[in-house]
Amino acid sequence: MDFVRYARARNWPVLLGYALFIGMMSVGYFYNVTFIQLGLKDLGERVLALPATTVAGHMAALALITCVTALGFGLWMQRRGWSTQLLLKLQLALAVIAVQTVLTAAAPWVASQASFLVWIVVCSLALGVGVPVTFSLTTDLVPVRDRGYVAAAITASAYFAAAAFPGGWQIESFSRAMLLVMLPGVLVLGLVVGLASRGRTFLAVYVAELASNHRMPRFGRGRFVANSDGRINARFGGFVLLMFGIFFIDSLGFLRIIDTPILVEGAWQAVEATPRLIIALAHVVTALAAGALYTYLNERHLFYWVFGLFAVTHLSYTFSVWLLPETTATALGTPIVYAAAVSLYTVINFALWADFSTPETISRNTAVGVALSGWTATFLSTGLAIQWQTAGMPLGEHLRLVQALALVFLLGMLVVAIGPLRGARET
Amino acid sequence: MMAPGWLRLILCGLAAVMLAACEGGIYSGTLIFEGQHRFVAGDRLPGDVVLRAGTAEFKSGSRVDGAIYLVGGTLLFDGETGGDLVVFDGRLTLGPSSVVGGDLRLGGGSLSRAEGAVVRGQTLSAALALPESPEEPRDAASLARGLIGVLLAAGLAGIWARLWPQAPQRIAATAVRAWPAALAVGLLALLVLPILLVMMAFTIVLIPVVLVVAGITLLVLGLGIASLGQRLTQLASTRLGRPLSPAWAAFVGTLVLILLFQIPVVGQVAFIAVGMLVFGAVLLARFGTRDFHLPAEASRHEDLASYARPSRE
Repeated sequence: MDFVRYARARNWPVLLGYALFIGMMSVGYFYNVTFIQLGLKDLGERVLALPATTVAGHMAALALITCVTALGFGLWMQRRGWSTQLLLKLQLALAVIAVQTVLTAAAPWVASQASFLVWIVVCSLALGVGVPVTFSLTTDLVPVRDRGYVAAAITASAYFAAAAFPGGWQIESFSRAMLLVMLPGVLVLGLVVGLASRGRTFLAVYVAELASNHRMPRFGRGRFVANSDGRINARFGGFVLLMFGIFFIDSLGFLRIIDTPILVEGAWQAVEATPRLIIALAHVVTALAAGALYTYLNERHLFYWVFGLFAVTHLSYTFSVWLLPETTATALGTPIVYAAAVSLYTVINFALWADFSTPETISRNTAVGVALSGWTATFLSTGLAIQWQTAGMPLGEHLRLVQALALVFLLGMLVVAIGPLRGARET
Repeated sequence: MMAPGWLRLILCGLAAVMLAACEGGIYSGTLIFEGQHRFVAGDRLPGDVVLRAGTAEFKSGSRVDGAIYLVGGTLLFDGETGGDLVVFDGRLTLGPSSVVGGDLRLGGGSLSRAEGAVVRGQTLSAALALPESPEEPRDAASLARGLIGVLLAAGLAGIWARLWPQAPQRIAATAVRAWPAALAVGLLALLVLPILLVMMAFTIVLIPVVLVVAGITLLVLGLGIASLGQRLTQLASTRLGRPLSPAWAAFVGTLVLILLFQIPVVGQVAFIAVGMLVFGAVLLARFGTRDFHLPAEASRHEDLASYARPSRE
């Protein structure tokens, strides 16, 4: 690991860069999987008493606006040459986090559908700007060799906190918890940016050193750009499609699972701490495993694992649902496999796009990768889940379709294994 | 040779499901998935009964020759069973005429017991009778059987290493050089396999596949332990100045590792860790048929000085 070598060389600026990146991305992802995905649903349905379909529509709008903003801002950053300017990116990140902190504090006071909609629009604009800004820090702060492990640390921290979260899935408790993390975060990042902008402080020297990291191949040339210049090509498009499939399958299945109390009350929403802690630990262990896999395996095998795990998870849920009327779903085997699948693909998502980029193209590439796969998939799966639920589709059939989708992607992967992805194999 | 607790748990679960699926052969059993089932006086079920879901009612005078495993659903039992009554989950009601010939084992679920219900064995609070190895008295015969089993396994490892000398070396090299990847693959594979096997067993028609996959799983573990044992023994014997041949190293290494796994707690923890590591290594090295190549990024070596901060004028 390069981290160990930097630690042995006592290169404090680079070590600070690791900490800054892992901290920012962990909090950002924790915010996304708790406050955005679960808190806003509660705000709309419980606090504002809006119909579930209306709330889901608003959530889909959030995903769409975020997607469009991320794409637009990522392209803008690349054209203006901001991708390679570390201090500017940190200043932008500070602005985004400050806006998100204000929005988080204001969320429990949202009292009408109109203000909810305004909140969502502002939030999605901030999220959209945040995607290329934060992901493009990778080429400055994280060496290529360590990206899998750094992504693992981010994933493990975010999911551990999310799974072990002691409060209910209510906007008030999410808001309180997030502010406890975000306020110190804003202050620390503000301090770093403020001192770095002044020019004579030690932090200014640190940031200046970090800002030159991207010129080293160790940082700047992603794992998959050895023979290209980081342009978007068919191979990149193939990975966008695969990641889209993963996000779509995950979101489509989980949206229905969290609406089925018997499937979550013994796991993610258990009253006792033990099941939640077991799932949290499963996230940590499998995220670390995913970090190792990302580092050692070629990406095709990673995707086999992800789609395979999702297929097994939904097959297992389909079994449980088949037997539901007669049983109590208390076993944690399936949620643990689910946690493994989610941790694995999240690690890939945090490392993959940067590894397809150069310092000049990273803002655009990460925007395209994250927006087109993650946010578009969320938008579409939310819409489809609403349609299925309003059409009265039974839970078992819903999960069977999700499982079939996972198997189709797995089969597709096997079919194209000798096709476009063949060049992806590393020796 | 005793397998570790978690492995015994998995094997017992698989055995219970598979046993229940067989009818009329060496074993007999009844597996109830759903619906209402009623057995009246004079009804007799040979073998074991597994109730996964639904409701089964055994009236006074009905009989189950084997054991009853309640995995889920509702069991209204007022008959007689020749074996244990084991409750994993679900609801059990023991009627006034009920007779449990063996033990009543309660590992979960709920119990309502009428006065007059007879349990000839013990009433225990654990569903599976997993023996506590340290306390379990072992007679000379069982020790001898265990020892023969260990020697047989070690002997097979030696023969394998002699016939295909490169395979254990490739597997061990993968376990040593790419240990994070081997551990990760082993962890994920061993996480998914039990769930997959149980679900396949529930389909009944896939039970032969389950047996094959379970056999392959044990084979993978065995090959991995033999490979790692061989590597460790070769290292140790070389250091001692008396290097062993690959076959003897595999024999001794396998023997030592298996005996190490018998140590309470430490041995079981070691088995889990080594099991994950070698399982992944065997898969990554394709059963020893090819070398596992490290990716370029992971194998790149750079001067430590290049990691230091740039010098300041």
